[in-house]
Amino acid sequence: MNRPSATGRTSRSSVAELEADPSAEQSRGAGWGAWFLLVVGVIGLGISVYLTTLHYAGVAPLCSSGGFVNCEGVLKSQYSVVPGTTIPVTVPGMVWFIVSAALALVSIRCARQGSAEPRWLRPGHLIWALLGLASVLYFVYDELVQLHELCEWCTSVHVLVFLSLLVTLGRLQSGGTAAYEGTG
Amino acid sequence: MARPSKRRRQDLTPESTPERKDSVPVTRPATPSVTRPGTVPVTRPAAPSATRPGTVPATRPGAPSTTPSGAPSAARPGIQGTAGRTSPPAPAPRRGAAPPARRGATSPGSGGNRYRTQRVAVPRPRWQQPWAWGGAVTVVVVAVVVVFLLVGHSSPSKSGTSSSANPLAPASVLNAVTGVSPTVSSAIGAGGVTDPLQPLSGSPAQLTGPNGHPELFYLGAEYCPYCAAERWSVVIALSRFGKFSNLHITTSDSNPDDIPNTHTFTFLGSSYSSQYLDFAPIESEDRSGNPLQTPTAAQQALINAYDTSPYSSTTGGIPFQDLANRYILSGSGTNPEILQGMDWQQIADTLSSTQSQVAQEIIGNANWITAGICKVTGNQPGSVCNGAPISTLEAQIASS
Repeated sequence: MNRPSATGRTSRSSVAELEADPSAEQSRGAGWGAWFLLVVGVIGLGISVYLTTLHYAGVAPLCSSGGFVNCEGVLKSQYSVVPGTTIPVTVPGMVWFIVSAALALVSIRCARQGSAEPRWLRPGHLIWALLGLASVLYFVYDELVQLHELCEWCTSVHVLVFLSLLVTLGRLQSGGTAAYEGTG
Repeated sequence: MARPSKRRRQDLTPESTPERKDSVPVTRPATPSVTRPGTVPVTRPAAPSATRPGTVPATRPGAPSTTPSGAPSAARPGIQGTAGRTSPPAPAPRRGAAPPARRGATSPGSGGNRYRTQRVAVPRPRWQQPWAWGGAVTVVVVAVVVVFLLVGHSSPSKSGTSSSANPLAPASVLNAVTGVSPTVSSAIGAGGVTDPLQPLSGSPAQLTGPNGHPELFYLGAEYCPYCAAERWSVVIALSRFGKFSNLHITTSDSNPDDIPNTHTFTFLGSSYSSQYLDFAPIESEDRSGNPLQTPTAAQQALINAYDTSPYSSTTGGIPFQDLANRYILSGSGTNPEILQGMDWQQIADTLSSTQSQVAQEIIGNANWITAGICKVTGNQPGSVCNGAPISTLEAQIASS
């Protein structure tokens, strides 16, 4: 337990922490995490839009074909559409990245306005990221077990979703979970 | 150190008590503590008003520098110049320390505890650190992907039994048949191959597969040389709409009276995945004539209905193909005799040449099959169906 030493300072925590309030700490700055999530969302959305456009245009994407890394084969397979429909899986992917970027924007906007983030924002973003990861694992299973092939574009999207999960997890952990106690 | 002069008690009035030189009179009661937000206030003892910088409270020689109780020598109200008395001087206050107030002395906040509640960050245990959770998630995800890799490496084919007697098609051969150049395909066109697609009369219900797509049903056998030749074109055509997995290679039977040892693929143990087309192959016998796969009742009904006149010159002949109950393909569009003496790689290598008869027949036949598939898939995908030579061949396909 930290107590002020004879010099009037704590030995392990910063002054900022001494004066910090958990809810105020979230709102004081969105930090690099929110910006990172926004950038990831934009990049992922761009890739999803690109693949969706190619799907409906019937044009093969710019990628390798043949061998283990064969994105054309993967994108032509039955696993490239939502089961039971003709909707390419890139459409739900677009939705995922749009929502993720929007949640990051809310955090950034709250920081700029100096207001506290909604309490549901970071847990909600983590849940959304977990949903994304579940989808990613399903697609990776299809690629490796069913098709025995990998798609570069798909893998890049999967990596973006995974990184989003790590950052949302870190933001939830760092935002207001530090323990505080009073000394009297 | 100057000794205080002696005065009689009755002379000790505020007016008559002079300030001694070098003495530090206590003129004020204990000052209230002035606190800054966030700081810990210290109740100061009666601070001597230093008249000159660096002056120290006067002490009697030999007298202790601190009071016995550590209490400040708080002046009694109304009395000045008590530093001249023999009472112990005020001790230098210790920093950060709040000496206890004397009884009766005025102390700030004497009505209660003046210490503010102070927030102090308690370091998180290791398991609550952000990196701990992120690291755990990473480890789990990597482990899952590794499991998928291992399962995928050892998994049997999705459909049918594994054709363990035949080796997997080499990647170089697969690449050649799945990556036929559009330029070569366009230049070859029909390749001199006659339209093999016979439209079904009577407009039967569309044949659809387990995934709800139009289905191509194929009936053949591994011993059959004509089936061997036809498979090259089928693999090329279907690879334009989806993807084969676990495709094995074999040769037709070695009967010298037939067209022996025609190098080819076998659909036994393979799987096909497409968002446009379902593929249902049946390899009825191996190259030695041993039974392999049996058509389902529905498939047998198709065979009984269409693998006969007028669609087939031989009832029950192979290869036999039913494209979505729209077109029947009976026999091979490629003459297996032109494949004699060529192994798989040699056949695959010819597919990049527009001049090779092998390429012309195999690719020409594949283009016809492709055109027929485009007819039943509604010209999807556009990248395959809308360009030459497929669109041209589509227009030439006989209609029922």
